[in-house]
This record gives sequence, structure tokens and C-alpha cells, in this order.
Amino acid sequence: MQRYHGISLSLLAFVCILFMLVLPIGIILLWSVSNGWFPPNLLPGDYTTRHWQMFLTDPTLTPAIINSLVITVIVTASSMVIAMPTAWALARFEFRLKKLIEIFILAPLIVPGMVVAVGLGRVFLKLDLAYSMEGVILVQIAGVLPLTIRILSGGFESIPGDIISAARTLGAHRFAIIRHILLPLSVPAMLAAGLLSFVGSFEEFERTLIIGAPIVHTLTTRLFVNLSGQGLVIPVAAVVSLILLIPVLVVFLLTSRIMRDDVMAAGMGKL
Amino acid sequence: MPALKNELDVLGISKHYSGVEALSPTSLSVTNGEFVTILGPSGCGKSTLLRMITGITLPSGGQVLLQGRDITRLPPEKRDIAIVFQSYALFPHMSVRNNILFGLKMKKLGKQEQLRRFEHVVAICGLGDLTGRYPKQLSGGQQQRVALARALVMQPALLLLDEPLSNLDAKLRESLRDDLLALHRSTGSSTLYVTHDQSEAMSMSDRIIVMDKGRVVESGRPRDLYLKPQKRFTALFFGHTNLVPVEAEGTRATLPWGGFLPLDQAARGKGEISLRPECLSVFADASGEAEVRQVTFMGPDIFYDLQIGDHSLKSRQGSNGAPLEIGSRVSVRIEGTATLLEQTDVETASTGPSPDSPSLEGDR
Amino acid sequence: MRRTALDLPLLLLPGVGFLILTFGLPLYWAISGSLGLGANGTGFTLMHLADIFLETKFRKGLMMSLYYSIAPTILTLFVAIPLAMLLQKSFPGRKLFNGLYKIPLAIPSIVAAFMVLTLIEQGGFMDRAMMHIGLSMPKIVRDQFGIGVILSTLWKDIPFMTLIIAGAFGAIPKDMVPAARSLGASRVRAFLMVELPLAMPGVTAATLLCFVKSIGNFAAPSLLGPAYPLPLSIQMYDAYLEGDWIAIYSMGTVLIIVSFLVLGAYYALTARTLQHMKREG
Repeated sequence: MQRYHGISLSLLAFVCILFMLVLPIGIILLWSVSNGWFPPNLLPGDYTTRHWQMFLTDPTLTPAIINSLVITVIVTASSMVIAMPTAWALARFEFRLKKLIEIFILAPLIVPGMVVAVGLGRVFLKLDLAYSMEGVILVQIAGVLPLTIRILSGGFESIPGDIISAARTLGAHRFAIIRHILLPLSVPAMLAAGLLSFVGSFEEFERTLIIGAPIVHTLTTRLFVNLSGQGLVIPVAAVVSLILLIPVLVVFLLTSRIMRDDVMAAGMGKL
Repeated sequence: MPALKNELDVLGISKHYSGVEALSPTSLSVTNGEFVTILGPSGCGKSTLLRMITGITLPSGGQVLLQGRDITRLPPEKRDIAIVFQSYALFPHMSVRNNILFGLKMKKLGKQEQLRRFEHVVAICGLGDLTGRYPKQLSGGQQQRVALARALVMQPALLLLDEPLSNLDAKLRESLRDDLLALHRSTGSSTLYVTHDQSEAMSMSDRIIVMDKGRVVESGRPRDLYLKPQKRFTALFFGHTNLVPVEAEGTRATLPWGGFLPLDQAARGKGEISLRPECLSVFADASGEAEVRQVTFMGPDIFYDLQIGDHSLKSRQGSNGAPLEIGSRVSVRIEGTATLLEQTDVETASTGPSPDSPSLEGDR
Repeated sequence: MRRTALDLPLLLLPGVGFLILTFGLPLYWAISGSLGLGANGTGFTLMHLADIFLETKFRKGLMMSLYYSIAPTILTLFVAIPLAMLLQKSFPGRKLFNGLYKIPLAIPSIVAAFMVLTLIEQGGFMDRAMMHIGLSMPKIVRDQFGIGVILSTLWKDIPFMTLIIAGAFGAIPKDMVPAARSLGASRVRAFLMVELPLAMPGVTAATLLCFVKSIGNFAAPSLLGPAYPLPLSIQMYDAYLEGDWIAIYSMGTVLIIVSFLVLGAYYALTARTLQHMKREG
């Protein structure tokens, strides 16, 4: 009885996965290799790798991929560097107004990205940062920074104070403690924060659209233009979507292995 | 090594956090090779004191001298003091070997010397086959030994132990207590030990410093503190006792139910003495002055709750021999001399009985 | 490691400073701009903000924004709680499912919108499948109820909420429910009176976050939603392209106010729950 119950649960769960995940992604996959797929056919009439090949030569898509990768890497690295000292201060210091600063740091998660982006857009126009890579990078860092600080400071907080004290009584100076104790023990938190900001930056759309488009395009803004424009070519959109999925999925599968659910839930959920 | 100089002198050290006093000015010393224990309930300031001696916490006032040198403002890494934390604080990302070698590497000792010390300490702590493991692969007792080895390998002028046995189960605690003592005897290191467990303190220490509410209550040799405490707090903290009001007259104290007891110091007026249950011998005696109210069998001992006049007394006897029956009449004999408890601290030291002491759990 | 007076400000500076420049200032400009203050302002006025509620285009936009965030949030709640409960049970393949259900979290919302297009638009896969059995798909993309928008939002929100709520359920000590049942509570009562209250902080947090996340949603409404009324996020983008700063700032401020009202409600609620728990405990 118990066993039967378990199997029916499992069946239910995986039917959901099939319809919610496998089917939509499968259809996109088919579109990306279809050579003519007209209603009412449930499968494409003919297959081709044309759309994928075109992708490598398309003058609008290749720069978008490069931009996406460059921006994501720079955003992830810079937000880590910027977040580290602040996260340390929040984890290890007690001070007045600490609660207020914590709320301020998490507030960007609450305020719609569009509002922040248009507000910044005006200044960036004046500073000549609008429509530039630098501008997009800055606005994206602002987007991923709250979570990065949050996760890092959670990681730092979990290092017991006794361990640092022990290292000190064993003769370790400030630098030695950072190098031998704090950095190695923060690796899980840093990985978690890094992976989340990688995903966050790679799939960022609204801020990039406002600050970067139409000069600086990433894959997401390019896909948006493609989907919202007049001449919607579904196979091309399918190829772009799949490319957007690849690194995000790889990173995400990695993440769930490295990152415990509760860390992720805490990072994203609890304010 | 200067034999006469104290290893550690703490002079009037104090700590307050934003106005609240955590530790009143406190002085203590540890002589070369001595094993001194700071004993007190949790929150009595003993850990604060220890942290100020290591330099992890800065004192608000007073001085710390190590071998006569003022180290009050020295950061912990520059002091020649090693500590074993209650949590062990092993570095989770380092093997046992690297944990033990950490301090030597920080000191930039030669490879040869590092290895020599490492092997020595691994041998005396019995860590031979564990050096490749990581802390989370070790049992509590093994972790405790690694933490000890990591401190001992530094050959510190002073070894601090902050409740190192409190996270272990009772059996293991006893065997590690013996190991710790043997280790202390073989290394001869000056040791300051912090605990809330009076039996641990009595079995290990040359000297015990009793603390309560941020101040030193009393200090002395274990036997003196146990049998002839000066303070009510001490009497209650060191396990079961009978607090008996007496009338002093010279070196003679009159007991409330009649009879006398010699005092070790002359006094006059009303007072209170501490009588340990094992100092009360009871004999079956149909015309005896006391009645047995309750009998508690504890294995090696039997506790008898006695009623004598308006007073209840507790007596502890070896469990060999026929036990007395509840309700039987007994006569009570008290051996030895008694010490009047200092009255001045009766009010301030502890208003209620200490949570640890007067329970019937036997020795912990 | 000894702390000096300068340590703290220096450590806080990079993160807090960056956010002040890239988040605090724009926020300040938006709010002060909407009140007619700032460099090219006309002096303090509440008219611009009032316009959002008075002008039909804006008022309907605000309603639309609220609709796009409230409707999916409520629907998600009904799916996520059972799903989170399911994840506490053991069934064959649970581990795999546990990994798979979170995938939508990592998929950009534009791709989600594109999936909805290919799957359920008229002429899309579902429509074709139904044609074979002689039916046809109703119009649910760019329809007046924004069903396509809600579906694509649900697709991303359900895993998100499930993750947080499952975490909250998972944190309940394992003996709690057996204890309640041994005291005579039925399975349903044990859930309603023990599990749900204990998981409530997680449920509230998840609900409010879902709401707040979707109120500024842009991609899905602009690709899948009806052309009128447009939610404030899209109207802001259009105004940005036209350089109508007063409109942008006013709409932005209204969205900010709504978000922070929700956040404030959350803090008030959780603070009360915590206090309550403390008093009870």
C-alpha cells in the first residue's frame, strides 16, 4: 500500500515534469532544427542545421553572445570583489544602524529593476555611459550585488569565532588568517554567490534593455527584439533560447550540487 | 627557567561591556608547572577572564603578566599562550596533521624542528593513526585530543583549557580527565583550566579559584575548599552539604539540636557551618536523636535524609553493610572540626541555592 | 585583526557606496522627480502622482500591474504548498524531481515567454494537437485577460515558491507531526494546526516575494499580454524612449510605494508572528 502510494506520487511528479519542462524545451529544440513546420503537423516535415549554422555567421547574434559572456564574467567577478568587504562587515561587526543597512542592501531585490534602470538611464545618458558595455556592467552589478552580499555574509557568519581566535593564539596574523582560514572556509559561500550572480547576470534583461539596447545587445535583449519585432522567425528565436539555456542550465545543475537548498532559499527568500 | 617567578600574574583585571560589569577587578597567578582551575557556574565571568588572558578580548582595566612581562596590550598571536576551546575550534578544512602544524608554520619554525615536535606530540596524545583524517571524521574525544595536541605542540609558557571536557559523554570525560592529568604531569606545563564541574576541578587541580557573578569568591587547595569552605557559595557549589546554624563561643560551636563541635578558629555569636554528608556517621540506635526519613541508594554510597529536631540533615555512608530502614531511629556522630562560613557574603554571593549543587544526582 | 574606528566604514564602503550610487540615487531622483522637486522640477506637487490614479491610461496600467502580480501569486500558492508537502514525502525518483523542478528558476523569463508562444499560441503545438481531435485552442495569448502572461509567470513562480516553502516545511522538527497525531489530531488537523503555522513565515515570505517580483514584470506582458491596457512597467519603457521623465518618475514611485507597502506588511506580519511565538514559547 505504502509502496503503491509512493509510485503514484512519483508518476504524478514526473508527468508534471514531462509537460512543464520536457515538452516546452523539446518543442524549442525541434523548432531550432526544423525546415518547415506547418500546422497541423505535430512534427516538422524536414530537418536542417541551417539555423544553427546561420547563428555563427549572423552579424547581430555573434556580438550578442560575446557581449553576454564578457558582461557576465565581469559582473560576477566585480560584484564578488565589491561584496566581500561589506559582507564581512555585516557578518562580523555589531554596530548601530546595522539593521537599516541590511534592509538598504536588500531593497534592490524589492524595487522593480525597470524603475532603477530608467532612473539610472538618465544619469548614464549625461555621463555618456548609456548604450555602453560599462553602463550595462554597472547596472547589472547593482542588480546582483544584494544577493552576493547576502550569501557571502551568511557564509562568513557561519565561520565560528573560536576558529579565528584559535588561529590567532597559534600565532597567525591578520593576513595569515585571511589566507589560511577565512578564504578556504568561505569557498562554498563564494561559489554559491558566484554561481547565482552568473545566472542572474546572464539572464538579466530589463536593465540591459534600458541601458544597452539598441547599441549593446546581449542574448536576452536580442531575443526580445527578435520576438517583439515584425518578422518573427521562430527557428532563430529557438536557437537563441537554447543557447541562453545551455550555460544557465549547466551552472544551475552544478549549483544544486554545491549549494544546499536552504542556502539558496535563504539567499533568495528570506529578507 | 626562573623557578620562583610566577608563570602568569593577573593583576586587577576587569571587563565591562557598555557599562555593564562582566568581571570585577580580579587577580590570580599560576606558578611554574602548576595546574590551576577556575571553577564557577556558567556566566560567572570565567570565560571572559580566559579570553582576556589570551588577548582575544581586551580588558577594561588591569594587567596581565606572563613570566613577569606585561602582555596586557599584546595581540594573541604575539603571546606565548595556547588555548583549547570548549568547541575545540579545529580548522575543518585541514587534516589533523595540518591542524597541529599550523601554529609551527605560523612561527616559521624549521622543518626539522616542526617534524620533531609534531611526532612527539602525536605520540603523547595518542594520535598516531589519525593524522591524515579531517576533523569531521573524528569522534568528540579524538577531536579533543587533536585540539590539545595543537596547543601543546607550541610548547607554550601557559596552557589554557576552556571547558575542554564538557562536550563529551560521562565515561569518556572521566578517561580523558585522567589522560589530561597524566599529560600535564609529563609535560609539566603551567595550566589554567576553566570548568563548571566541581568534581573535574577537585580531581585535577593543584589549586582552585571559585568564581561567581564576575568576581572571585574564594581560592585554595581542593581539599580545603571542599571540607573547610570559607563562603556559603563554595560550600554549596562543591556538591551536597548540610548548612547548619550554630552559636559560636571561643573554639566551640553549639549545634541547634544540642551537642558541640570544635571550631578551627575562635569566634563569637551566631554563625553557619558546612557539614559534608560523609562527615556525619549514623548508627542504628533506638534512643537516637534522629529519624531516617528517606534512603537513596547511589551505588557506592547510600544517602540518608535525617530529621533531627527541626532540622533535616543528609548523611552519606558506604553502601556495604546492612542499610538502615526508613523511620528507624539513629544517633549521629560528627567528625573533625568545622569552619564558620563568612557571613558578609551570605547575602551577596548567592541568594538561592546554586542550580548545580544541592541536587541528588551524585557527582557529575 | 584589532579593530580600529576606520575599519567598519572602510569595509562597508564598497558595497553600500556602490548601491547608494546605482540604486539609492536613482530611487531618490525618481521619488523627488515625481513630487516635482529636483533640478527641472516645478516645485512640490502631488499632481504627478495623482495623475497615475486619475488618468485612465495610468490607472488601468496600475490595475494591470497589480493583476499581473496578484493573480499568479495566488494561483502559485495553491500549487506550491501541496508541491512542497509532496517533496517532504519519499517516492521513487524524488531526488531527481527535486533537482528538476527548480530548472525554471534559472530560465530567463523571455525564454519562458517564448515557450508559451510556441506551446499554446493559436497555431502552436497544443493548438495543432487539438486540431487532430477536432478542437481548437481558445485565444490565450495577447488575450484581454492576459492568460498567457499569467501562465508564463506561474511557470517561473511555482518552483520559486515551492523551494522556499519546502525549506520552511523541512525545518519543522520531524517529531512535531507524530507528536500532534499521538495527541489525537487527525492528519488534516495536524497539518492545519501544527505544520502550517510553523511554516507560515516561509509561506508569507514566498508569497510577498512572488508578488513583488512580478509587479515590475516586463518581458512577459509585452510579448504575451494584450496591447491595452499596458502595465506600468511597459508604459515606463515607452515613456523612457520618449524621454517623458515626469511620467517615468511618477509611475516608478507608485510601483516603489506598492512594493514597500508589501514589504512593510511582511515585516509587520513576521515581527508579530515571532513575538507571538516568543510569548507562547
